[in-house]
Amino acid sequence: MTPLTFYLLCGVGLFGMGLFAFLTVAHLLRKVLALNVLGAGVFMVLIAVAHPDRSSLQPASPDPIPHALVLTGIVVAVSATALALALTCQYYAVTGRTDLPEDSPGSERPGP
Amino acid sequence: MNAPGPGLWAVLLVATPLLLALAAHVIGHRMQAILSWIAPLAMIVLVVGLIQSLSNQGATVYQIGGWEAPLGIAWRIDGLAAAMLAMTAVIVGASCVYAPGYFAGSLTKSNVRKIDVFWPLTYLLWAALNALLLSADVFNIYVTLELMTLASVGLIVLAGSADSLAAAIRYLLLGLLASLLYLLGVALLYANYGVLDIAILGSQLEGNGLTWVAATLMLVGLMIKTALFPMHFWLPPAHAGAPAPVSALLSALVVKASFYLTLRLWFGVFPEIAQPLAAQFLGLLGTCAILWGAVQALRAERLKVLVAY
Repeated sequence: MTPLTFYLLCGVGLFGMGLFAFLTVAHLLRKVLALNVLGAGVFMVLIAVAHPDRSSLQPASPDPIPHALVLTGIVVAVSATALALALTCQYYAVTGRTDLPEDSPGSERPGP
Repeated sequence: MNAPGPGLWAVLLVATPLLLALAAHVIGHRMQAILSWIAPLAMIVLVVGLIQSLSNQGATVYQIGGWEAPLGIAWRIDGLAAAMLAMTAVIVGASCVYAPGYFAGSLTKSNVRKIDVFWPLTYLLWAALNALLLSADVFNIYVTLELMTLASVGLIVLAGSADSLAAAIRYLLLGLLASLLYLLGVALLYANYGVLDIAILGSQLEGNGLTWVAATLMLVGLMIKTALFPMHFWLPPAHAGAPAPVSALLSALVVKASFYLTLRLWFGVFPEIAQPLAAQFLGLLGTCAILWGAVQALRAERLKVLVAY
């Protein structure tokens, strides 16, 4: 098993864990956390893709484009997380609940 | 760079709403009301300019900053994009004109603050939509999708009630999940081909297993966003909670934008592997979604009319 496969598998594993938690956990804070784990998985796949083995053009240095993508992705993820947390706080302040009302039964948990 | 015709109009189309968002944040209410008349006019002029230069020069690809496609970011300006831009301008413009009257009925202290937030968010949404419609690059599409989601979540939450908060949170979480699924698809495509541009991807694509996985991930992500038939469950609560101009924007544009992307990806990136059967399946789902959406829209309109009377 090369390091590349290892990192790719780790990334996909993180993605799977995040997805599982996102679909099964009801607490909003943990849903947000799950999304972040899921995002970390995607970023890890992208970083692994930048491994020098893959780009035959520059054998010595890693491919910079996925790194730029990950940086952009992190910025997006941070702002989205901030918004989600702010909304959750406000929701808790208004209703005193930390989970969403299940007003659409049966369709709340679709398969991925 | 040597053909600034449609490219220039396109840049203006994205830059103008961004500037408007800044301006609307700074100026007072009276000026905002005036701006809400100027903005649609300006945007429609820009779209007409774009279409005119498009009909002179034909579809073009605009390289932002002059960088070539594999490294730089490209915008593609063609008939479909122009039609969608025009539709966006008309619909957002209409709700801009409608919104002051809608808000004027309830000018309490807390509502004034909400209106202050409404205008910048609307213009931001407009900029995100225009940028999304012009994108010719799968990662750029991810970024603009996120921009669109964040702006529309802000708009949903304007009503401030517990229901609209819950709807906004649900929308935000699902939107994020959808974008991350999409992003994983992008990562896999990049791993396989090393490019992000839609046109180049389309020409290099081969129907192997990895491509299928990537295509499925991206399409599922976009289907959640579009609220195509099996995944439409999140949509009604989000729309029910939003103020009228906002729900017009959301249902008419935000959802359509994701559907536009599905089309563009399906025919732009995956034409080789898109078999007629699969395309028809998508069309069937789309039809169901449109019918369902129409029913839903009728019901919503009834409700709002009732409330108004």
